[in-house]
Amino acid sequence: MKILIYILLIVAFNSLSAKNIRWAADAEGNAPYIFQDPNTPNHLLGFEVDFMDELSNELKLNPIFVQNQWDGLIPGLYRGDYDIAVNGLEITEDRKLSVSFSIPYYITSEQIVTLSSNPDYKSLLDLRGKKVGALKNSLAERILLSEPEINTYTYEGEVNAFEDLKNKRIEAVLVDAPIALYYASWNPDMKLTGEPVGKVLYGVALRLNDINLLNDINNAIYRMISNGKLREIMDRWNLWNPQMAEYCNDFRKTEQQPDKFNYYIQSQIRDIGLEERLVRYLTFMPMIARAALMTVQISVFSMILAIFLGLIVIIIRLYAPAPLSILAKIYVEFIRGTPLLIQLFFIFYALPSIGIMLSPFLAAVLGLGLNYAAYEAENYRAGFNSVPRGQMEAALALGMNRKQSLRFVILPQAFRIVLPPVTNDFISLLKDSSLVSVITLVELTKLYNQLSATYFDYIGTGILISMVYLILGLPFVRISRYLEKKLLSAKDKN
Amino acid sequence: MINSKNNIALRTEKLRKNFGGDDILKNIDFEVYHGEIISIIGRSGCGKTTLLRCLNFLNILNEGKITIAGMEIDGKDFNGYKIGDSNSAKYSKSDNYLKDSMQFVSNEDLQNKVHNIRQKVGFLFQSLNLFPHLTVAENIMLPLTKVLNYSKDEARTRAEELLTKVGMKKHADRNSSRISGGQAQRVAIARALSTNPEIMLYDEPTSALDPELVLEFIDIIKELQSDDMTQIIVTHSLGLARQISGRVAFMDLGEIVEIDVPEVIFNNPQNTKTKDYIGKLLLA
Ligand SMILES: Nc1ncnc2c1ncn2[C@@H]1O[C@H](COP(=O)(O)OP(=O)(O)OP(=O)(O)O)[C@@H](O)[C@H]1O
Ligand SMILES: [Mg+2]
Repeated sequence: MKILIYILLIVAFNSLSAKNIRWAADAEGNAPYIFQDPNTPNHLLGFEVDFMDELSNELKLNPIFVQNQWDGLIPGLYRGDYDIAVNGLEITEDRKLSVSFSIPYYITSEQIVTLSSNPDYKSLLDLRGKKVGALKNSLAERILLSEPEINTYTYEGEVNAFEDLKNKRIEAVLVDAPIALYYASWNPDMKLTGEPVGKVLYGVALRLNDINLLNDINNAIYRMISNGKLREIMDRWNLWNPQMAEYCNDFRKTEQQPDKFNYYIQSQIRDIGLEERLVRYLTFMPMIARAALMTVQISVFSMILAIFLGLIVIIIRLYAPAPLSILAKIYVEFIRGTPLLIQLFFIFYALPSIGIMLSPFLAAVLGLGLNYAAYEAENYRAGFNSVPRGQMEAALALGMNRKQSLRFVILPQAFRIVLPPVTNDFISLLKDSSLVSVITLVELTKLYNQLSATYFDYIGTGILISMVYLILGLPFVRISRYLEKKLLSAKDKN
Repeated sequence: MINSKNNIALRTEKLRKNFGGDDILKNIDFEVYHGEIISIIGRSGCGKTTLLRCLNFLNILNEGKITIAGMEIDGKDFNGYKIGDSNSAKYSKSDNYLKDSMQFVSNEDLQNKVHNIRQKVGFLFQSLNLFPHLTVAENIMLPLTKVLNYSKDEARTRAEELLTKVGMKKHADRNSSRISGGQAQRVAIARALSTNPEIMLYDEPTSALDPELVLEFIDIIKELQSDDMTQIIVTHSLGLARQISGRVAFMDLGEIVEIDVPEVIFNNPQNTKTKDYIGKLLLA
């Protein structure tokens, strides 16, 4: 309990410190917004990173980056994990109900991308009767859905959409122009076709009641427009466009070299050899070590929690009076019957609204721990059940009381039976811990997503990260095998 | 003669037991004297095991009175409590094996009484129920340390004494799940004797023993008798009942139909039901 209060205090203090501005985005390989530098992967790049640097400069605040899953960016604001979210968030009427937006820092449109071998689609009209992909919750998706004759396919990330395009599952993709520029323009297999569609405004998202900060940010963006800093950033990323020219009232010709764009494209089109690839994997190691440590910490702590909580649950279930024991039963059935993902979201985003504010790490441990406790309770029950009834009776008949009988006769026997399934559960927990990436933690699977999306190297990174999981799980696989064997042989000799 | 009042080790009066359907035991009225050996015989399902289990409250009587080991318990004492008979239909199948018949009886005096009775009444289960995770000696040391608060060393010494009595001393440190059936039975008897009971209850002790082992079992019974132990033996072996009992009780459909010395029960039964049963079996 003391530790909990202590951690909560730290979280509270961090959120009070005045000199920082904490901004959130999902760094999962989202060029040109925010992504890992392909050459030094623990360094973040992107026009939004540059924008934030400049914005903080104008605000005289120190920017602190907070990683969060894109879907969770707005809920995270209200948890107070950060002050603003800057990650290609379109200013829409829907979103304005839950957050306030700054004036736009970037304006663009949707772009049709198709395979080079496909015809040049001039507009959405040409796409009627075709299968077209778009990103979830984007303007592109809404546009496509309003066209009943287009078959709309929705994707979590652009990488999946382009992958399906390449595999001809769909005929075109409609995405924000920057994505088209960074993912398709340089790729000989794809082309950008047709007129720009619609208008997309990106704004900084804030909590509805942060009016002062909103004013400050708006003023800062104005200054960046008038002193040309915003244009410089966009030029360097090759993102300056007619909409921006109009918005900033700046119709000068571009002179600035798109050096950042070129840097990215170079890193993408260059074919790298095996040796270079291995060297690259070596540079992953510190990140992998950090992520693996996160995975292990979360797994171990939540397993410890699950083991103890499970015991409490089963004891209540078996021995407490009816109302309590029914509650324990409902708990087990409820937890086992609902998705872990939703439980995690609930703990992370819903609990703060009733005043329970947990750090991501605590929320992850609690979420996984509560979840696995239900499974451990069932394991224990199976263990208890497999001890013959006569054992309890024999102990009682000798004049031992219930507690003694449980402690000295039942438990030791149940323990041997329960050990292998509990070790097995730990191995699945190790893998289930990947789900906590949805609540801002960067563990192995999140790292895999980030790295693979940065390098489009799904196989190499996949093998690498899977190996780490294997190595982490191996000791427990061995233990569980050993215990199973020992148990079996003990039974044989009976 | 032995039937004076102070010599009574056990008495039941109008005992009735029911698991939610028909009465399994009805009107059980009988007395057992100190140092006596009584056999209970009867058809399968007539309620012999249930009667034994009622005597140490592994099952709880619904009505009547039990006087045992100097203590008296009335079926009325349990009124108002949920009776947690293991196996009873009231409990879900999966969890009931851990229930104690006394679990929901919150009356502390009554609980203490039952605990004391259980110490004073040794019970030999048909399935023996040795603790398989413990060695032979540890099986006996456990009740000694937990119930009688012996130190480990004292318990070890006492366990060895008891094992000597049943001829199992040299197996003291073997794993109790790896000994033969006959050996296991002797260990179970030694364990049942560990808390110095005044009465021993045996449920079909010879059903799994070869004839030679039956003789060894009889030797143990006789030796205990010479120590003045009161013993009740449920058995299907008429030969055993005839050979070792002071008296034999014949049960039918939950009732003790006839109780008398072996000569009467086996040679000249008074009740027609006894006659039927014995006649059929002796002719077979
Ligand atoms: N816990 C219980 N719940 C419900 N019915 C029970 C329970 N225990 C015993 N019975 C029933 O009570 C009756 C008597 O059973 P009991 O085990 O006492 O018979 P028994 O005379 O010992 O038979 P056997 O010679 O086969 O051992 C049987 O019909 C049995 O099904
Ligand atoms: Mg029986």
